[in-house]
Amino acid sequence: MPSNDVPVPSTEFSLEQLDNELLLYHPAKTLTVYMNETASLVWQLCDGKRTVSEIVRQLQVAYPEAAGDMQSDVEQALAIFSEHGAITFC
Amino acid sequence: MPNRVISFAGQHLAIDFPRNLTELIAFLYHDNCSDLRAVPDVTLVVTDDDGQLMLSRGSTVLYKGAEPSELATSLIQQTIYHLIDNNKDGMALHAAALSRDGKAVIFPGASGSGKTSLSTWLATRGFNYLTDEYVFIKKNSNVIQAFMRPPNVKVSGLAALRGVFKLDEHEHSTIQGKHVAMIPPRLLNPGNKPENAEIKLIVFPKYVQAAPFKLQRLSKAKAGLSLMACLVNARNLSGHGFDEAARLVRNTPAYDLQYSSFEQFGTQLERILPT
Repeated sequence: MPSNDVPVPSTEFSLEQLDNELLLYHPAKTLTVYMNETASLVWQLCDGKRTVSEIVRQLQVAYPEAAGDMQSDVEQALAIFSEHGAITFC
Repeated sequence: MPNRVISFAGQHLAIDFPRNLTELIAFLYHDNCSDLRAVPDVTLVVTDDDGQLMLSRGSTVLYKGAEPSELATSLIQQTIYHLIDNNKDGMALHAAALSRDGKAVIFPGASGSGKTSLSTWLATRGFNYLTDEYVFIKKNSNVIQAFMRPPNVKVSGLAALRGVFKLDEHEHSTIQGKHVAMIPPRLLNPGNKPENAEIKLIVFPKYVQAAPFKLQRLSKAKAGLSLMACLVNARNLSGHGFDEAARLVRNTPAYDLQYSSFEQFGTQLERILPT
């Protein structure tokens, strides 16, 4: 996944924050997507402006104890979002 | 031809039936209320032509055959379908439900997840059986309305209940077919009564043959994910009921339950059920 890509969240999903996790729902596809705590954090940083590497960096600063795994965790979460059509890259 | 109006969650349905099937209709709808002033949205017609039974709606034939248990199953399924299909006032969930002192536990799940066997078994242990199939939760409410039908226990599920309910002792007060038996809730629990109870617990059951017992607390998001899969009238609701499902799991503890026999439960299930 190119680190300069910018993930842009789809506006077609409804969102519910439940504790530290997220549920997204796409009415037209009747699709519900579960996001664990890590994926939820990544989603919240997908504002259509930050690049992938900026998201990774920001989370590494916030969670230094998990910094080593952050690149792969973020890429994994973004791949799942992309697979469900919840984000596109530009 | 006699007529009976069945009312549920603000919807009304009429059934026209021949006089010789009065007992069957009374058996199926004993615990459902009728609003005699209501104008039914749909009418189902049952006929009996020398033992040839037919269920129809308008010109559409929904069942034709000679087996009363199959007619009973079709009639109940069609009744539920028509009462729920157009409902826009709240969530209709594919779920079993029981209550105790006004507190309800719901067991949402697909067919084959063990909802009926589990709710039937719990009824024999003093819980108030409400439904094995559908519950309705009005918008912004935690109170359930349950469509109380006699539990439709599959033949495979009867074996598991043998220790607590002996079907052959109730031959004349149950409906027994090749694949299912319908058991009046009062036979399972003599004090059983319809009740609009408040949801205090959600348990997603999963019957798996020979599997170990597992009871696992779910996060709210995981519970919401599972609940959305059991919402049957989503298309009628604003935002497909997503916000209502989220509201429910936000306020109600939820568990995943895997089991292969009731003997596995011990006190573990009882411990989380409403007291």
